[in-house]
Amino acid sequence: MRLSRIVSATCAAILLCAPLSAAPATAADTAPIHIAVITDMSGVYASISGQGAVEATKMAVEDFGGKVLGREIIVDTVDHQNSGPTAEAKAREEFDNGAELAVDLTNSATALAVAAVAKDKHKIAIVSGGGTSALTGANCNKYTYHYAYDTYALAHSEGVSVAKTGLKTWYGIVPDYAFGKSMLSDFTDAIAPFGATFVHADTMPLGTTDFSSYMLAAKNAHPQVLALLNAGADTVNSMKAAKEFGLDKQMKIVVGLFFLPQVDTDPSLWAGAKVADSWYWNQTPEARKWADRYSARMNGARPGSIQAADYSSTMQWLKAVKAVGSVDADKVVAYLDGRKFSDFYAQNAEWRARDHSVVHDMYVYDILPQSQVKEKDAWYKLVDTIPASQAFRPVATSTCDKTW
Amino acid sequence: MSMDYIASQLFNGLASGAFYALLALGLSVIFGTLRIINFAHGAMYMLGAFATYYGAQYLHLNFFVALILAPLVVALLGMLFEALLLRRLQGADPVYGLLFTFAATLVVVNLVRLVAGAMGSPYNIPDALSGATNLGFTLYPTYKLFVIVVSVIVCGLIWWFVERSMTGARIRAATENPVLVRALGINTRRLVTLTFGLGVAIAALAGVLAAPTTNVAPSMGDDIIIYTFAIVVIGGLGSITGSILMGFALGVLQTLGAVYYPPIATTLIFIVMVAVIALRPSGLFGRPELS
Repeated sequence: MRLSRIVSATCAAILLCAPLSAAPATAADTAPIHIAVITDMSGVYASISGQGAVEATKMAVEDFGGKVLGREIIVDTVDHQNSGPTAEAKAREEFDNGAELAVDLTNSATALAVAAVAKDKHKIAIVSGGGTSALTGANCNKYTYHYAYDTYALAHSEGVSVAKTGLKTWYGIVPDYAFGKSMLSDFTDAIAPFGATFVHADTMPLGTTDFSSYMLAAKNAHPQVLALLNAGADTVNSMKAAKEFGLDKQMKIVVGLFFLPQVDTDPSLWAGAKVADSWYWNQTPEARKWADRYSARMNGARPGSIQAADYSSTMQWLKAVKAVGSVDADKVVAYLDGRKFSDFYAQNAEWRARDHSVVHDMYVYDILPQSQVKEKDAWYKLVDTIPASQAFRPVATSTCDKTW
Repeated sequence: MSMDYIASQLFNGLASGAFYALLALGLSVIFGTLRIINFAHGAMYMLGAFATYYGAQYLHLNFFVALILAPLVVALLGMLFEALLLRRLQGADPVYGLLFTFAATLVVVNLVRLVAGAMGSPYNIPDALSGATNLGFTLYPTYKLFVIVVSVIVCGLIWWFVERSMTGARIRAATENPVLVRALGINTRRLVTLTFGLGVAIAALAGVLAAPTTNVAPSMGDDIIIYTFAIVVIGGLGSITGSILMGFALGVLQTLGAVYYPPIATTLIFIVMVAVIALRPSGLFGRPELS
């Protein structure tokens, strides 16, 4: 038995993955219109998007009447398995097989991949799940809209909301990849006008298993705010370590990216944390009404903001198609660009023509301790509303090189 | 940087090393007897954590009961796995064992994902171990100290058992020359299954210890197992002493990396691994292969 053989076998085992694809083509003006919900159906994002996203999109189609321009509307479920190449291949297949719209696109890598396909195929993609501000910046294109939130909006709602209370010294926990870096730079810019700065930011690899040393360092630095600018399991693990070292008793902990269904991972862990989001189901009577209908279809689960955004964006698109009398992407874009609206999900919203960012008010919430929660999943308490004009990147500083 | 700060960070390193040591030890015990690289080790670790979570959820078992019970339950599953499936690969090229346990990992992780969801399940530090303990120079989380102590005791016991006890001698003999050992009237099959169970139990124990401080999710074994493989290679495949010492040492090294230059922290282990493979391919504590 040779060691080298074992080591190379280990490497081979790690590389055992590859996606497949196929793409025939058909189209007819009487054929059904497909809407592809491209998302994570079984991985880490399945609870914030997944089946709920599909159900929300179906609700929009049903509420619209199930047909547009006399053609039946079919919602396709597409599992991208959190892989950019898989998302790209499947989006191509969908667009070639009658899909006129792709929605959800949770996870930035898949959102960017599908945005590129939409541009190529002249079909519309509306991103609600992915957060990268590149979608309306360096990678903007005519056929892609960014609907729910981006890293800029998170920073400029949550960062501003906390910084304006006078907390000036911040400490960042930053994962070492594109998302973490853009979160840090967006937060740094957002808090600067209030005289607040990051006294230090530790950058660690994605999937760090033990955050103790970083928490001890943060505790030693005595900042007023600890900003966890990571996502998924990293956020849970860093939060657990922060509490173990008692940081929550010494400073305000800000969680950069968070969705309501995540509270279920550990309610006692999240109590007291501050988060930003684009929507909360119990925020207004209209939101609540929609959420009740959603829950009835989802075994009582409450919707998160991404799922609500999927309904809202699908409904907006269907109305646009009806108004222009065509599914032609160029006509729909011409109709949507510059259009203002408000619905149960988005307040003071605008389909911004300049960079295809769909801007709307953003919100900052405190996560309540279990003892103050009056009904299932009512975890949030609204503490701040950030107007659309302040939450999202102003047109004047847009980095989108608009070529259309 | 003050001395007590560095000292606290060293304790963090030991706490992180406590997990590496347990996992590497389990891998070594299994490799030493079965000559199989158990890729499913991370899944066993994850199962230990989930057994703890479900034990608390449905049977109201407290953490200390789980500490004993969860490893036993997972070890039982492991022994079934060995006796029914893994056994068939005995004597085959090690690549088969690796591929098979890799496949088993995918199956187990996805089954747990179906049942528990992918995001994570809540489990907190038990009240008796929450809070901080005064170490004289600083306050340090009690739970982390507990993890270090348990790991050191378990590692010590296993080391004694394999390297010094009579049963350990039989296990080692069964590895070296199974035919001869069988001729002496010892049931080597049962010995192998029990040893596999022991390795799995240690991994599950690490999982129980991790549950309060780590996100209890199906993927929790994925990250840590890669480091553990590297540590086993550094310590010497199959070397009990090497696995334990290198587990703790590299936990400390990784933490010091995190203190002085975070971006390199997790890479450090692999840098050491490359150096060891280049200079001493059988590992720091491994014996060169005879065959």
